[in-house]
Amino acid sequence: MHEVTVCDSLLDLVEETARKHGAKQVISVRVRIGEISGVVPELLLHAFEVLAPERQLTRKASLVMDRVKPLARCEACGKDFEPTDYIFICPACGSGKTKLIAGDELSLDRIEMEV
Amino acid sequence: MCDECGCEERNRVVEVGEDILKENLRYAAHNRQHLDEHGVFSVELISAPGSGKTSLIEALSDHLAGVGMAVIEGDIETARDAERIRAKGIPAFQLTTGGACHLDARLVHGAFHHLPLNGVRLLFIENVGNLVCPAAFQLGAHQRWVILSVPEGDDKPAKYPRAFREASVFILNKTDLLSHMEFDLERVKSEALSLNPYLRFFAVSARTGQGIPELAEYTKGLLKPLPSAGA
Repeated sequence: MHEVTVCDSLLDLVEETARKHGAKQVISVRVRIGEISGVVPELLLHAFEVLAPERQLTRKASLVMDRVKPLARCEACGKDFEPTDYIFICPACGSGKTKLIAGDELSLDRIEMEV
Repeated sequence: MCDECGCEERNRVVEVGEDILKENLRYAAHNRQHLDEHGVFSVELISAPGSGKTSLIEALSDHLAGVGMAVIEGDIETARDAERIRAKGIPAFQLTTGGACHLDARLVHGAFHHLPLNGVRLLFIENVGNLVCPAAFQLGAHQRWVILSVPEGDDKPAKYPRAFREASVFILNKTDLLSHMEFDLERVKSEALSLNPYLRFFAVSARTGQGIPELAEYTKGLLKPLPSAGA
């Protein structure tokens, strides 16, 4: 349900960027949503469909979402791996010293606008 | 006309590549700076409703006498939790989100205007009871502790991966109920550790006090050193 807050922040960022570039209208907004970001894409899309038309610049904008799979890096052996079932143990060397390098992002990738 | 070549194309694509929650991150960084300037170590608590966040703070406070504590309570409605903390003689400020399912850094920033940090060394920020939404919003605290209670079941860590991934400490509460429930302590521990091998694990009962002294000792070790006398 925090997708509404995420969407509001997204629209603030879109508006700010569009103004900076002298946009008349935003046509589409492309975002990257990590699979373990905690955001449900369907709910974000629903929020966007309700909230975007309320703002002048994003009145007609559409939302495109790219899902990003989790990717982890082993800090012991340096290998990258895709964790399955949320197990972050390195399949190559068995080390638990791993860090997530993708899959938790919520980022605004690009905006297509009419200038 | 477009700026680049003078063609009639009126559409333009702008690459952004920024965090959607960057405004929240900005407030979180500001909060962290404010805490550091006051020598305060801050811990955010997240859990499902009823896992015992407030009870845990109450139980810990009995073992942290003399450590200046303060609490920011986050709830959707009511000031009940802040009243419970104040009854322990600990300064507390209640944030009510009025329906929102999580705290954000801007709300916490607002709370600092009502909660003086002079003499405070340890600040708990108790998030709204919810294991999903709060995980996405950094508040500026130094650590996040995730709490699970025995009645919730031993299969929860993998169901809430982000909450466990981003926590520093995992506290299993209500261990006094272990003998009444089918709950595999080793399973919950190993599942949480495979999600996040850096987690520190504590099994406690805020009600009976079991495990609380160990957690209190760990907490004391996190505090920033007091400024030396005469400095």
